[in-house]
Amino acid sequence: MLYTPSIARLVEELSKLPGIGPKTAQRLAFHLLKVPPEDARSLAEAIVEAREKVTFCSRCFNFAQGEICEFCADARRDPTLVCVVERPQDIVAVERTGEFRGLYHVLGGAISPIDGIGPEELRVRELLERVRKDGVREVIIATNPRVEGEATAMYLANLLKPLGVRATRIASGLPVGGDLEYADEVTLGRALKGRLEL
Amino acid sequence: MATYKEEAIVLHAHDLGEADRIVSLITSGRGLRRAVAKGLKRTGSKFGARLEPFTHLHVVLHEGRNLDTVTQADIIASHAPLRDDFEKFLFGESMLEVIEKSLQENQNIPRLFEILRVTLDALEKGPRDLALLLAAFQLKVCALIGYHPHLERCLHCQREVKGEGARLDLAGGGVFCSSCHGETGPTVHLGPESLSLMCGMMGKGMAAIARMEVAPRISREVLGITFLYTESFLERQLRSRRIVLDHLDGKPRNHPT
Repeated sequence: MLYTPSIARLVEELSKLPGIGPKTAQRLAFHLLKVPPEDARSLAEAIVEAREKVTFCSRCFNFAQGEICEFCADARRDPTLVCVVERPQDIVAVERTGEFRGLYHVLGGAISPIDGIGPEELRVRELLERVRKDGVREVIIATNPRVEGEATAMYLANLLKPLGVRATRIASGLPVGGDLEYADEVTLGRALKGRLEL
Repeated sequence: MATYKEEAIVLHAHDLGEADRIVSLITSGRGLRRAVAKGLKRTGSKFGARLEPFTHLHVVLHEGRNLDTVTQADIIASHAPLRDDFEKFLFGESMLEVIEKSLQENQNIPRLFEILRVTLDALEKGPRDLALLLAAFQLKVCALIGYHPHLERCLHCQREVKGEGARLDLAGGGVFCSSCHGETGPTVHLGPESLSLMCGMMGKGMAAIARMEVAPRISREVLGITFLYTESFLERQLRSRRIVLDHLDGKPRNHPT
């Protein structure tokens, strides 16, 4: 046996994490054995606490500690404006802009038939129920600007328009700091289509 | 390890680590290749939209032990209309899946690249019947990988199959007439209209098939059969089958229309 049973178990558990191979797992395990016991305990407690207390918000499906998330619970936010994202991480990216004061809806992915993900695998029905019940005026579809994200946006727009709600798509085009010379045809084409009057 | 240039079509892409993606490509000269595109997820990536599924491109790859690395990519045809039309996207992705699952890594069947290129062009232009185009594509891919369906004569008595009662033997790769038996595995019923349509499609080019129009009931039946036939030979389930057929059947029903 290469390690004592406790170290072997720790290495095995760590190597189950994404992006962690056996070598990295071994390095992390030996690091954890060197740190003060209270630091190792604190890490273990943080993992257990997050796993036990973090759930999904019953309205928007963002991560939450309680029935609804901090955004849905914030009375200062505009409930008639909903931004649809693929994953909870995308909310963090939108929030960083400081430009959006509405609520969110996490779909749980994008439609990708090749991966076996159809509309039924996403929280589409829940979005439509929210739109109908909560008097939503506008739905901003902020799925990733990839083929799957674009197709999901088209699918949602087709379902939302008959409900009398405004369905909008986040703009796409050249990244700030980029160079026209290196832009691909699709991105540059979109930038031209979505040009703004100065 | 060499660097090489190829004409390719992007089939599939999935995440690798924080910012990289692995792309599956069908190339005109080296068949199915998988390659790492470094930093592709970053908004400032030099590849931009060049490595999105459906894109037909010139690509420069650096050969690796397990995976190649994409070093350059230039678009020949982006097939942008497939991104802006949900139905075209749905049927197009199913075509990409059939190709990806038909080949082993580095296996090359040059005509598969060509049939995909031609079919994506037809799909972009807007075929009259998307289900029919996908069904014909599946039959032609099966034929190219060595499983040409024998649809005109009974596998047992060799007489021309006409009228009701024909069955397609999925494992045997052909039809049995109403009076013969000898199936090697599961069979599916083939109505006379579906059988005649499938026979006709095998002799036509994709551009001609894109102009064909039949009753939706018939193209739905044919597509259901060709999905089963393709899965039977690939010995793998096609993930897009349920999603495409649900869409044709008007599901998911819990959504308002």
